[in-house]
Amino acid sequence: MFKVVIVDDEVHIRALLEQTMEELEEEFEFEILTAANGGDGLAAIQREHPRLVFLDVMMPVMNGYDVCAAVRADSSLDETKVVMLTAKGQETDRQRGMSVGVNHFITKPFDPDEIVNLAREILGS
Amino acid sequence: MGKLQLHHYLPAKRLREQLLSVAPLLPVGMVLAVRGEDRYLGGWGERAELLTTDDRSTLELPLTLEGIPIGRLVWHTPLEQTELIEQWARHLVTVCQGLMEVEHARRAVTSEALESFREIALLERASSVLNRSLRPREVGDALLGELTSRARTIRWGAVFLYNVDPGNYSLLNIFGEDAEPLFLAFADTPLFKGYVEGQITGILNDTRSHPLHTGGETLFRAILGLPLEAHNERVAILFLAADHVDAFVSADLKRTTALTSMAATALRNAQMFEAETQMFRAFISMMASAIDAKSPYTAGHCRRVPEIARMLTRAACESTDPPFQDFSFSEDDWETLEIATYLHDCGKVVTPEWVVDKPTKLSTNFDRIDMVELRILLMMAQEELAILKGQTGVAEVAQQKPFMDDLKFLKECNLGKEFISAENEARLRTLATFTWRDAKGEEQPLLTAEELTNLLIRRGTLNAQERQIIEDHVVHTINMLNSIPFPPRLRNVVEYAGGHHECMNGKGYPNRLTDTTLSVPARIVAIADIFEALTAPDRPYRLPYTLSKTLDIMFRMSKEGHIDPELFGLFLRSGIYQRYADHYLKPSQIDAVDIRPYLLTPLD
Repeated sequence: MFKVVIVDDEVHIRALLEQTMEELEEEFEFEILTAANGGDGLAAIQREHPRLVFLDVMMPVMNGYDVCAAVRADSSLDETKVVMLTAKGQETDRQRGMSVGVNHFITKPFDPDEIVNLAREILGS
Repeated sequence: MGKLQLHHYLPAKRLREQLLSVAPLLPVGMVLAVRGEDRYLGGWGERAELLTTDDRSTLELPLTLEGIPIGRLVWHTPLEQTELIEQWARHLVTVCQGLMEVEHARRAVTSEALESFREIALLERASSVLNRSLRPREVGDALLGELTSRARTIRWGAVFLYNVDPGNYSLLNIFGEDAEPLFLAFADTPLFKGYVEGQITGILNDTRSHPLHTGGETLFRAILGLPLEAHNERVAILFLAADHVDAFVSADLKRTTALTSMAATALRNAQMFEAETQMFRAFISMMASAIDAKSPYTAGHCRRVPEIARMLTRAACESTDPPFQDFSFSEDDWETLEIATYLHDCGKVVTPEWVVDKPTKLSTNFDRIDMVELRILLMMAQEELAILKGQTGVAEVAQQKPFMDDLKFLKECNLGKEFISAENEARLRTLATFTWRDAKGEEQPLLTAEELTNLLIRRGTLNAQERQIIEDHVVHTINMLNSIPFPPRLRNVVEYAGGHHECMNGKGYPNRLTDTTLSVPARIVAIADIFEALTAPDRPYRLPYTLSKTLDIMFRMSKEGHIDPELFGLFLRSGIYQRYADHYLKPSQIDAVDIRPYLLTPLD
C-alpha cells in the first residue's frame, strides 16, 4: 500500500488535500498521513517512506526547503516524490525549491484536478 | 456529490479511540465490527473483520447520515446479557453518529472550498486560454477544448456564430465524431430554434420528451445549450451533447456558464479585431488600386508585385539550400509582407504622373513636340512668305533649312530610344539657334533652353530633376508608412516596402543600404518589383520585354550587385518566372528560356 504524507501547518490545506486525494481511492490503494509542521513531517516521511509528499514552504519548526533537503540527503528515500505547495506570485520560491530537489510545484490556491492528475501520474509510475 | 461512504465520515483513528474507551467494558467473548457498504472499518474481539450478519447469533444496528444508512454496527455475543449489550451497542452507535455529523459538516465546508478552488483554477486557465488568440475560430476551439477535455459524458460539441446582418447562425467549431453533419441537421430542428430564441436554456436531459421534439431521429439524447452574449448582444451559441439521457448535472451547467460568459467577451474581441483587420486590409487594397489607377501604364503593378513576392518567399521557406535553410516566415511575417508589397509604391500618390509615365523627353503635362512642330510649320510659312516677297533666294532656303528632315530628327530624339551622340548633340544645339517670329514680329528660338536640355538627355526620357522626383517616391513611401503606427508584429512593413530600390552593392536609393543591412524579404520585394516592371506589357516608353530578355537583364543586375544573386538563383530554379508568365504575360512575351547560363551552381 502506498503512503502519502501531507505536511502543512494550515489545517484547511491538509483537509483540502486529503479530500481531493479521495478521488483516487478507486484507482490506487494508499494511506494518507498528515503533519502540521516540518519536524513532524520529516519524521513521518523517514518512518513511512511515502511515495508522495505534499510539502508546504513556510512552516513552524522546520521549513519546506530544509525538509526536502533532508529527504534528498537520505538515499533510502530516493523513490519519494516531493510536491511543493508555493503561494501564488512567489515563483522565486521555485528556484530555491528546485535547488533542494523538489520534483513538482503546485501553486496555492491549487487546482484540485491538477493535484489528482499529478498524484495519479506519480502513484501510477 | 457522489455516493456517501462511511469511511469518509468515520475516520479510522477516531473510531479506534472510541472502541478503546468502550470495548473493555464489554463482556468477555464479545465481538463487534463497524462496516461500511464495501469495507470493514474497525472492530473489537477475535476475528472481528470476519463478522457478518449471516450468523443467527449476530445482531446489527444501522449507521445513518442524513437519514440514509451508509454502514452498520454488527455484534455477536454468546452470553445471555443481550439487553445490556444492546444498550452498549446503541451507545456506540450514538457516539459514531456524532462523529459522523461533525465530519459531515467539516467535509461540506471543505467541499465548498474545493469547489471554489476548482472554479478559480478554471477561470484562471480559461481566461488565459480564451484570450490567447484574436481569431474567432481559435477562441471557439479553446472553449470547446476546455469543456470537452474535462467531462467524459460529452460526446459532441459545437459553437455556432451569430451573424447579425442576416440574423442567422453558422457553424464555427465542432467536436466529436461526425459532428458536422449532426449539428448541421440539428440546426434545422425546432429544438435548435427553441434554444436560439430562448424558449429552452441550459440542460435538456431527455431531448425526446421535450414538446419541441418533433420525433425525428437524433443521436443527441441530452443537450446543454447556452448563448454567448457580450454587452447584452448575441455573439454565438454553444451546444454540448451526449448520447444518453440524464448526461448533464448542475455542475456542468455551472462550469459551462462561467466559461461561456468569458468566451463571449473573448469572441467578441476577436470579431472586432477581425473587423478592424479587414477594414485595414480593404484600405490597403484601395490604396494599391489608387496607385495603380493613377497611371494606366502601371495598372496592376501593386497587385502583381505581392504575388511574385509571395511566390519567392514561399520558395525561400521551402528551400533547404544553405542560404535559406534557416529562413522561416510566421503568420505575422506573411501579413507584414502582404502589406509591404501592396504599399511599396504608395509614395507614388504624390509623384506627378507625367513624370512617372514620361513617355518622351518633351512631355510635361502634354508632349511639347507638337509645339515644336507648329513652330517649324510656322517657320516654313514665314520663309515661304519671305520668298514670295523676294527677300530670300529659293536655293538658299532649301540648303539652310531642310525643315521636314529636322522635324523628323527632333521627333526621334524626343523618343529617347537611342543615346545622344556628340554629332547629334551638335545638331540639336544648332537647331536650337533657329528662330521664328511671333505675333508681335519678335524673333523666338525654335527650342527653348529647357526644351534643349530635355532633348539632350543622353539616355531615356527623364532629366536629372525628374529622375530625382521619381526616386523620391520611395522616400515618400517610407515617410507615409512611418506615419502609420503599425503594431509590433507588423513593425517590419517599412523596411520591407522601403527597400525595393536598394541594391546589394550599396548603389541603390534612398538609403544606400547594402547586403549586410538589407533583409531577405526586402531583397525579395526588390526582385518582385523589377521582374514585374520589366515584364509589364504596357509601358509608354518601350515595347514589353520578352521573358528571356527580362531574365537576361535581371541576370546582369544580379552580376553587377544590384539584386541578390542567391534569391535570383532561387527565383530561376523554382520556376516562379515561368508560372508567373503563364498566368500574367501576353503569349507574345513568353519565349523559350534557358536558365542554365544564369545559375551559380548547376541544376541537379
